[in-house]
Amino acid sequence: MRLNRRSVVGLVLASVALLSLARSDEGSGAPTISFATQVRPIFNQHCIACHGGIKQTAGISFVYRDTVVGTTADDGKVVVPGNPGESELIARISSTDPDERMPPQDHGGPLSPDEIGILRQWIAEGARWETHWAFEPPKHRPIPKVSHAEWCRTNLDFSVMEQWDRLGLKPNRPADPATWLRRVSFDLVGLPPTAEELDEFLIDSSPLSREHVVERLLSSPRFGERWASPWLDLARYADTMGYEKDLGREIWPFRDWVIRALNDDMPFDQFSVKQLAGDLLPNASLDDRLATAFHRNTQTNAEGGTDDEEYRVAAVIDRANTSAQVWLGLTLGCAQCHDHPYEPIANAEYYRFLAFFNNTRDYDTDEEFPKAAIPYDRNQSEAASQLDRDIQARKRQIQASVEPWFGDDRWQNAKIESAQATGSNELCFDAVDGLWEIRTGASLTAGSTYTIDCPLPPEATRITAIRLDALPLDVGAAAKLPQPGFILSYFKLQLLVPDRDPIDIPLRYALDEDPEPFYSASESLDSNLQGFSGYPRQSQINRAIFVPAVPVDCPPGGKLRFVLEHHSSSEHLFQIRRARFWYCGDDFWSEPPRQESLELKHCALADLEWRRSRLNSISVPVLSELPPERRRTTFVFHRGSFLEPTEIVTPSTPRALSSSKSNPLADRLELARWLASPENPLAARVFVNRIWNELFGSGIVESIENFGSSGQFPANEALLDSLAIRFQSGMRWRLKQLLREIVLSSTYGQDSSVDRGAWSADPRNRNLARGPRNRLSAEMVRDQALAVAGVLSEKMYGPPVMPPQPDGLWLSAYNGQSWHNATGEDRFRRAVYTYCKRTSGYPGLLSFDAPTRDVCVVKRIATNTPLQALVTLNDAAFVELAHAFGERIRNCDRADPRDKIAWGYRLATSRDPSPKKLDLLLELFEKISKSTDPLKVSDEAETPYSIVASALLNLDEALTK
Amino acid sequence: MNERLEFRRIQMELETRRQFLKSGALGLGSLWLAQAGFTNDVIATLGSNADRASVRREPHFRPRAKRVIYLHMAGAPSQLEMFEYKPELQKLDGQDCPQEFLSGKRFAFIRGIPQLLGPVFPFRQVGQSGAWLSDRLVHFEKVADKVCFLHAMQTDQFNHAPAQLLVMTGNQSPSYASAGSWVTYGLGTETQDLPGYVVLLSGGRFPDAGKSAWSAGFLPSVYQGVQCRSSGDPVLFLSNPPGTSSEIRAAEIEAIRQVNELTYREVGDPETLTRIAQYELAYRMQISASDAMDIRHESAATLEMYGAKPGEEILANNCLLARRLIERGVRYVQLFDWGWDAHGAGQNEALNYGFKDKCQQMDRPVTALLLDLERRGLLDETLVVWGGEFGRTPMRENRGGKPNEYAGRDHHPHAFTIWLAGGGVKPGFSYGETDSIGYFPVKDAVNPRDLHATILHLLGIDHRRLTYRHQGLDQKLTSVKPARIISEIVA
Repeated sequence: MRLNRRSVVGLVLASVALLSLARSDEGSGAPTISFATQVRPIFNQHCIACHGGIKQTAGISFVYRDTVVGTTADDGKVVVPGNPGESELIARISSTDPDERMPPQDHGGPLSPDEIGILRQWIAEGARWETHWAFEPPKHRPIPKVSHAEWCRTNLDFSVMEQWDRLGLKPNRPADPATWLRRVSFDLVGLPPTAEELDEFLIDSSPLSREHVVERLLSSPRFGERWASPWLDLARYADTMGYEKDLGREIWPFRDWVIRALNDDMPFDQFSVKQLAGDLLPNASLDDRLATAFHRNTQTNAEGGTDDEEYRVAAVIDRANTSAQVWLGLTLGCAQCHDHPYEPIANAEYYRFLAFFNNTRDYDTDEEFPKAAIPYDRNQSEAASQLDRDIQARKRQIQASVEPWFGDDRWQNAKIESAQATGSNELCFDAVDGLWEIRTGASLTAGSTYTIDCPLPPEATRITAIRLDALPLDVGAAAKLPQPGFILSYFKLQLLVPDRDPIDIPLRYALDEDPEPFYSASESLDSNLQGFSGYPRQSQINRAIFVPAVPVDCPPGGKLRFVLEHHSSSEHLFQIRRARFWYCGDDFWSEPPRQESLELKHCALADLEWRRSRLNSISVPVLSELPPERRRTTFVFHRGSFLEPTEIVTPSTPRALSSSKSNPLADRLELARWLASPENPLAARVFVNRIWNELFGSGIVESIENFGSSGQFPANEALLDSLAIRFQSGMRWRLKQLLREIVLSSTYGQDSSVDRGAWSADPRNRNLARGPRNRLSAEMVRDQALAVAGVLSEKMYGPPVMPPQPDGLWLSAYNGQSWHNATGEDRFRRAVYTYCKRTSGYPGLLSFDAPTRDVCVVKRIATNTPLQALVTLNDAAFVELAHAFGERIRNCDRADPRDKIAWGYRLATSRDPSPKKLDLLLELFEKISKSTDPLKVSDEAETPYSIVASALLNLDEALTK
Repeated sequence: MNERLEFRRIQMELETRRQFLKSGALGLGSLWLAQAGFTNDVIATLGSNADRASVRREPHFRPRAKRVIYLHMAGAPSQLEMFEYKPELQKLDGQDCPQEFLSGKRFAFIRGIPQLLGPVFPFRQVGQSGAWLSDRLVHFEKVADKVCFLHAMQTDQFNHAPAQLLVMTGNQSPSYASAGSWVTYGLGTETQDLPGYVVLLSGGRFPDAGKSAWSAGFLPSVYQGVQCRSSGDPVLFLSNPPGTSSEIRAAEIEAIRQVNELTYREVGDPETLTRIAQYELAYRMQISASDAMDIRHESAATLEMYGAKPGEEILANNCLLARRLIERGVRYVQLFDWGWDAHGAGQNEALNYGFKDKCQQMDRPVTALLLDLERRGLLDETLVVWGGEFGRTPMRENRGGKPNEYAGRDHHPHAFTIWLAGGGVKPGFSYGETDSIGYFPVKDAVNPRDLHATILHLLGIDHRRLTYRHQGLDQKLTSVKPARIISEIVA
């Protein structure tokens, strides 16, 4: 059935009329038609399929004002402000000729008279084109006057009541104290109140009793554990890499970082900057670098035969899209292949935004380089941070002293006389532009060893160093699309003297031009290590210098022989495709050791690295920026395909969001600072809205993932803006402050039940005229069961745990890892610590809508399914807890079963059962007592109490907060 | 019962209102007003407020198929050893692959210059349609006239996980909704007691894309495929825990229901009513799913026909289960059979060893499935799809530049064969052609979007109208790129 479009529009208009009322006080003589709420929706619904961001038929796009609104009748634009009669737009939409009329029949047919009327009136009033509300900074508003100021407990209540006064609504009665306590306990710490907490609160008559509860909860370590989950959904945190093999990834220290930061109430601006760009902060600590694991939660594709560049780009795209989702509330990804269909964000602007993220070292390698070594013992963090800084400084020093030495003018290019390779490789050699080089042909075999002989001219009597340049086959093409990489596993130098066996020249050390290669040239000196590399792909020339232990004295007729061994697997064929060889006789490389000589610097570095290695650490993938000289060029990809790079772009934020005064941002750090600042009109709004959604079950802007013009309008713009402004100023971006204001408000404290009429009038509670009542989140369902069973472990942090799950669920291809049900305390840890495998998540959590963590998830859609019932009734992990809960009920200090059951009921639901409910549960108890053998008490058989406990855990009241 | 009537009335109110408000997930189905009877309502309202609005029940036009059985051979079987006869390739066997086929192409494992590999098995023509089959397909000969081959299927992914995601969800990245989710979202289910979208695995492993291959993606999670198993609990957590008899469980669920009804009277939250219904459904599912998944109820002759062995997780059992589930009204049954990745790097993935065994394990039950469906009059309205995520190269794989030890082929996205049967497709028909060595299509290429559009079309769904609002976009199975219904294959 297709609904009559007119009636739909009519209703939409009726509902948005309320919003436009809110705006009508902007000055007398203001237009009666609102562009944002009345005109743009018509464009979005009917016009932009052909005249939008993607298709701009006839050069007209209703996303961009300039292509639509002109100044005079004859400038070719379809809208002439103030003159509907002269506007082609009106002529076309009201034409009776089907060939003329817009939209055409096969694109939805004519607009309704109402819609045409709106557009006509809008043009008559001057065709004002408003910036989308969310792209304007939030407006500061004074606290409004309301009908019942005495009802308002916190600032936000005034904004809520102001709307009620307009709509003629009244607050609902307050929730009973036990209900409020349950609600606030789950919302702040994710656990139900204990019996003692409940008792204490119910007898506390002090006027500040609620404040006391809130302070207790906010300062509990459980707070960070509860609030980590929604953030980890955004961060797409998981304990595996994803894709086919879905190998394990040790990145849990990031999860712990989030929990600590939340418990410390780290201001959201800092929290953001550290995660987006902690590595670029001046004097970055190890914790700052760990925070950047946020963007290393992208997936790594370890499947055999995948293109690392393809999945590196996929990760970078994910980072750009996730950043836009989290800090802008926008679906920037829509502009990946073409201009954004609804928002004024051009295709190239997407890639400008992406460019901020396109300069990190990580490269979809199975080893997940680069990583930071995070000490297991937090007390060593400081020392480790300092050592890391010293090591960096040392490396930079060495780099600085040898950098000039990579210049060609200090080296002689070695003439090549023969080049051979094992396997079916064809190695050719010749001089290109006067420089001798080797090149591989089309046929390549893995594990090939190259032997290159270079005759030395008579003047080369002494050689102190060798330089090896590994080049992409096509240097120009590699700059656009990186070419296959190489690892030189073992490098050997020999001196050939006529009539003698080759003489091995021992090499003392090797230096890379790249300051931080994944595998370094010095590894080429040991055939057991990796080696000089352009890994996993090569986009520019890689150079290394090899220094003999003692200078080589070359007799006349002597030759150098270079032996290059490649050990890489057949799958990757990491082999040098093209190379040049150089030699040098300068004393720089052979000077006797003196203070601050290269040699000593190397010793000092080795000492620092040794000391660092003594701090027992776990390696966590982090972001690390490429130095300026190795920076990547970012291209616009034709239709989103990395194989088709087109225009070069430089980093910048979308114009629609940038205020004119903001300077171009230089790098990821500046971007991060802008994203989490009042300069970004969306940061605070999007954050506040997400928190609201978490507490109320829906956001003030219901489309919490989309603040763009195709998203929804805030149900209460004043409420959203006033919270956003105060969050970023008075509250100094502190989550706990924000939560304090919300949970102590009268709005939050209302009873959730209303009469049918009130409920039907606002089924989704957009007007907030009742309190929230929502199903527990996946984590809360499990944590509550742990808590009431009395087994909840308070152990924090550390590697993820494996509570019981059925056998045979982990079946990833080419992955030998398996699930081992935890024993002891780790069996009963909070759900946030459960091992999260992307391709096979923990079933008990997934059933309750926990996401797989493949990509950033802003909103979990709460469902209500029979499979959930099967989890809480039958999952062994749950049955075990019901059993423990049953034992607890049986052993509680109440005399008879009825009182015992009432005690358990209160634990599971935070309220006393009505006598009738208690009757029903007692009846169940007695029925089972009769049917089971009272003497038979084993771990296997369920006792009457454990069945009652199971029933309690499955009650609607237990599954709801 | 009062609560039930009340529940229905509220639901209808809510639904009507939401349709007009037109916010959040857009879906203007005629579901509510057309439905009668409580149980249908419950099914139709699986899930909370957030997804009720997006449920559609009625197809857009008269469907040719009502249900789907999709047999995915994970790892990508070689079309050149099964359905795609290339005598020319035989002549070129052992010759270097011409450069034109190599330059600018990315391969998973082929390096340098590989050699062409002729068909490893002989072919023959069968049936009235004269379809070519390799001698690995013995039983299949009996049903070759019932299927419709797409010989020029194409994809743009050449790694397993992304390619499986593409053919299952329309997108190569995880987090999109699978075709089965879209179909159950679009049509709902005809069974009260079973999940509408069931997934069955064999071959000992997940498909490479893992559970993402049957994910509901951005659709509400009620639409995700439910994995059923032929050993252990048929549905996860279906069985009562040890020590809990069904009488005890019945009493428990009854107590839960009664307490929840009182709660509903106190609080008035319709979610409570939904929850009551879901517990009843769970209880019924315990009985009917156990029954549906128990193939010991089948006759010895039927077990023999499929080659099914009760208690094992094998393709034969899953083919038989697919029929049992379809009979009971399940909308979409998705099978994955792992182990078809015949690179030739080892014996078990060699064309003349491991692959040969896989063919044998597949030939009989898949043939039996088509025959059985037909015999029971179910084939007409059940669409059966068979395929992999891509094809195999006409070249012998030369991992690391050396010919592999065994005969094998690398991943080939440019052309492969899938087939469809029943559910309104032309029987005994072939569509699409490739060049003389099977490298590129030369006629009537089909991409996964076209396939999805066609599957939906056969189910009576216009792929352009089956949408779900997510991230500011009306998401579709066929994405924003063009998709064509292959009308030539519709009977």
